[in-house]
Amino acid sequence: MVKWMGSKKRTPPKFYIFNLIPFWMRIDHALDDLFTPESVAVVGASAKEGSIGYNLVRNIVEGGYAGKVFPVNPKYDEVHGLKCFKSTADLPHPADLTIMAVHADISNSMIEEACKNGARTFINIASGFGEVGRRDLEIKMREIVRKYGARVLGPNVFGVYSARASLNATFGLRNVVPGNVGLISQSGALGIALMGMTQNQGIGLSAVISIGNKADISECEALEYLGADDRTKAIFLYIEGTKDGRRLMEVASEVSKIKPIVAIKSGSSVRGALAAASHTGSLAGSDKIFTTALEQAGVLRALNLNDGFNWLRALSQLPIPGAEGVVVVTNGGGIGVMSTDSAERYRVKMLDNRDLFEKMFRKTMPDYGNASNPIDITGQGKNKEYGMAFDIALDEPKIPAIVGLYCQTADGKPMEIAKAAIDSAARSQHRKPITFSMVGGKGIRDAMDELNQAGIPCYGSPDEAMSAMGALYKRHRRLLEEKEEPVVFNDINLNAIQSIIDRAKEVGATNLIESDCNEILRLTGLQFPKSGVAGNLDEAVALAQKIGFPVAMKVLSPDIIHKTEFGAVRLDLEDEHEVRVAYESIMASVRSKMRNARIEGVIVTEMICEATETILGFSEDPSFGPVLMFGMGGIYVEVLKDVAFRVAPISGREVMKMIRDITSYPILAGARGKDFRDIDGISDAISRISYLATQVDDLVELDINPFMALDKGMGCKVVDSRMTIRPKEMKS
Amino acid sequence: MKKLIVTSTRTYGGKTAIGMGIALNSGRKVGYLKPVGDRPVYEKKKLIDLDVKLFVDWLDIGHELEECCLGFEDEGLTSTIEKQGLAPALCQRMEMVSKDSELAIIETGRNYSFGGSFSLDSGSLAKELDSEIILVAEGDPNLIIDKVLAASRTFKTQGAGLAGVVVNKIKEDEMDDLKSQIKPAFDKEGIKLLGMVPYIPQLDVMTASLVLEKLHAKLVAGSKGIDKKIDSVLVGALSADAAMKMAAFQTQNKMLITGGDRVDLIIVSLTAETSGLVLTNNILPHPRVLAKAEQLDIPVLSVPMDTFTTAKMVEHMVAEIRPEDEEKRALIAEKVKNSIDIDALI
Repeated sequence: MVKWMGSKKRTPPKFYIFNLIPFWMRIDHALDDLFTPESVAVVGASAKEGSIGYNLVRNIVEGGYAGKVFPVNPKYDEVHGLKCFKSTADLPHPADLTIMAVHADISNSMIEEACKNGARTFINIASGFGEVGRRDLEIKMREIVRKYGARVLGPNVFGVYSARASLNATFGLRNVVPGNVGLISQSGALGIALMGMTQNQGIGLSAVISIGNKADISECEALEYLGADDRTKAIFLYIEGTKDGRRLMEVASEVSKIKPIVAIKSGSSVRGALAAASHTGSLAGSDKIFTTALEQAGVLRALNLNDGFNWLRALSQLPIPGAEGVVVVTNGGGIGVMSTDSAERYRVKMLDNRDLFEKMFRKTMPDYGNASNPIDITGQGKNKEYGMAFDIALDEPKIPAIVGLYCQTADGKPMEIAKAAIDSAARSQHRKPITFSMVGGKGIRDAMDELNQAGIPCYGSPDEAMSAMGALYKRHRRLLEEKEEPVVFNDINLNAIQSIIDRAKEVGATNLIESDCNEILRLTGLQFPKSGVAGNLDEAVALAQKIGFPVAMKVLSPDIIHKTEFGAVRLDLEDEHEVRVAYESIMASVRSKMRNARIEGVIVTEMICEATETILGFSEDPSFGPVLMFGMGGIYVEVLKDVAFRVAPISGREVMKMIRDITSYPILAGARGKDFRDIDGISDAISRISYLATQVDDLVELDINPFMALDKGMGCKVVDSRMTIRPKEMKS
Repeated sequence: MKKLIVTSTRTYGGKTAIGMGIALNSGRKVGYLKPVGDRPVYEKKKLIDLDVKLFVDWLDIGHELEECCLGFEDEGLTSTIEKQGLAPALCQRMEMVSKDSELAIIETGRNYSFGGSFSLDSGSLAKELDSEIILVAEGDPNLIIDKVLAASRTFKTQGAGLAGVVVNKIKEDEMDDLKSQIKPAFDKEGIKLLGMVPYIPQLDVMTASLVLEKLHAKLVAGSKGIDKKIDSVLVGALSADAAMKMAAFQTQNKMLITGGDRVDLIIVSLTAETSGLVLTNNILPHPRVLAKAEQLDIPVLSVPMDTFTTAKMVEHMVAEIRPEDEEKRALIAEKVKNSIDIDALI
């Protein structure tokens, strides 16, 4: 049921006016009936305390829901003081939202009955579906709701919470604190626990959606909804896998432009058999691809719950800094140094303006204090000094953000310091973000709570405070990013590439032969070392002289695929004599191993010496489609697995990020006095492969290894490559 | 200086062992030439023959490895001969390698007709270099006489001198019987029987190390067992159950060739009786399986070829005498000394 803007129930979020939301997000969402229903039916409502049917009704009623509640259960006349109906047919009118709290085996028939009686939006709480192998029940449920144009959340969920409607339609916690964080959880039990954690952390919730088995409504729709929900300032997503990674990326990309999404990804999805053969396939574990995809979509990926909630507190309460750079105000040198280390780790720039800071902050500290960042007001620093330092930092336009640190001291009064920080922040009208950390024992607990309640996130360690600041800066950079489209290469002849593939498919090939791989890559615009075919020894010598020494040589024979194993590859031949010996040795070696092998000659190739071996390719992920890989080649790819992934297609900016993502980037960038490699050449090649991967559906996997990066301005060259194509019957 | 051409009636007849045995027992400074190489090894950008390497190493011949071989049967040799002419090229090389020597061993590749297309077969060589031929005969006892007589008549036609015949690889219990058949036939043709050398099983030992090198394989586990003896090779295309019922599967010192995905077969073969596993198609089993092989010191080799190609390559593999096989040196010297009257020969 899709309703357009102007529905009676929806208050249009104010940013609609500024047209910031894409068209598809401006529809009044089917999920409106999940979050702002005027009536709720609970099928399977129970008077038995402790049961799910009881807890649901209790939470809805006690949560302050103002709409009508219809418990449905033929066993009862009354549940939680409300009239209980025998069936959905008996309801005075169809409920906007029907919650199914019955056994999996009967839930489908009851959903169908409710549909017949006019219900169109469901939450199916029951477990016992796909998660225990009963995919058939899920498929059936989806068929039923589609038949009636209805929607269903679940199965295997704990419900939804909506601050807008004061609706706690979960069987989890009572007393949910309303606020501005939207929570989407794929896990039921963890979702309930996460709600509990938000209570402990003082994070208020705008909405909670348990998405469970996602038979119909997925995390994408939940994200869309929360993205458009003006009450939600930040979104927390717990996810284990997705059926449509590309769609999730698209939605997350759009939503993350408007509000921050913090995600915890755990577990791993099922990998298709297609993505296993090459390096690209074997290195691209699904978890890594998922993480990459989320990051590409501007989602902040937390590795643990602690980080996730720490970031959420900052993101949901603080303004995003206007520029790069923080000042740390501390009363202890040690924690100051710790915060500096953390700043580097979380890519937070420590402002460095000794003269200015000396002039500004000297008055806040004794002589032996340190007025360079971190601003160390020393253990003598009390609320007055803290307040003064904060005021200075908040007033100074060159300081965009502040991290406050406090080390518990013998005579310190942490509460007074907290109040000083709160007063300063209030005076500055919370224009700049402040994160705080108090380190110490019991004595600081109340002060920390005071800060948190006043909207200054306070953490137990300098690292956490800086990590939260790092999240704000990630957000800052995301907001500055202008949309950049992937490059379109009109010079790539896609038809010619497709005909090479079609030819190979005709003969039933799934792996392309070397000459076809090379031709496709040539058409894609990649460069190759100079090479040629020689039919005999004298031709080989002449060719080597024409190409220029050193050269490499390998046999050209349709019978010999594994050339190295047949002793048919010779490298680094520096003169005519070495070419002659190599030629003779290849022929002797091949004849001794396969006397009747058809030898058409040898391939003589330019030997690339002054270059860095890299690996470039893509593989197809069942969920995200083509995933690009770039990294260091040779031993680096085998042992160190120093590679970066991106879901294709990617823009030029993302290509550069990808190149810089690899640990060995300094080697490419000219470490230890060596020249820069041709980063522009690498970047162009990645963009071209990204275009190829997304434009030619029949290409399933590509592995260019080694891909030699030459000196700046000299380009990159393909030395060896492998390609897998989609067999005829597998065309998607 | 005595010059002897060592050739044979068939490939892998034992030319190298006999030639080496004669050289080791001669008590003279030996020169060595293999005009046409047939055991190529590419080392440090040089193409050398493995037999040349063996002679140069064991006999301390002070020549470069490349000098002791004119070339291999391809365009390189053709071009050398075309540039210099056959006789000058051969004589110049002979002179170079036999300088200051009292005995020169000239070994042919494969059999006595090998090199014929370059006029470098045994008969032509003997004539060109003014030397005598030692013919090593081996194989089916019924065919030895036929082959030797045919070769002898060829040499006679070519005008080449046959010093005599060494019958090689004879099982001890067949020695007397065979001699009584061969001797009269040779005598009748005027062919001298130089000696009968018994079969030396230690020279025929195949190891996983040899397979590793010949197949350019990757050693993925069990490096400690790399020199274990391999007596039989099984190709595993059957099920584990069926394999276990086969008598051959229960034998000692076997090597199994199978696909890396045949985990059932691989697991049942991981016993002390197995001397090696060759896993094909570049597929490796679970690391636990490899760990088990490592624990049992069973070398596991991985190759990219399919099982059939691999099996064919292993089938054609023959144990070689390598420069590092020092223990074989004494064995060869002793057996040849006991079987051939070397003083009379040289």
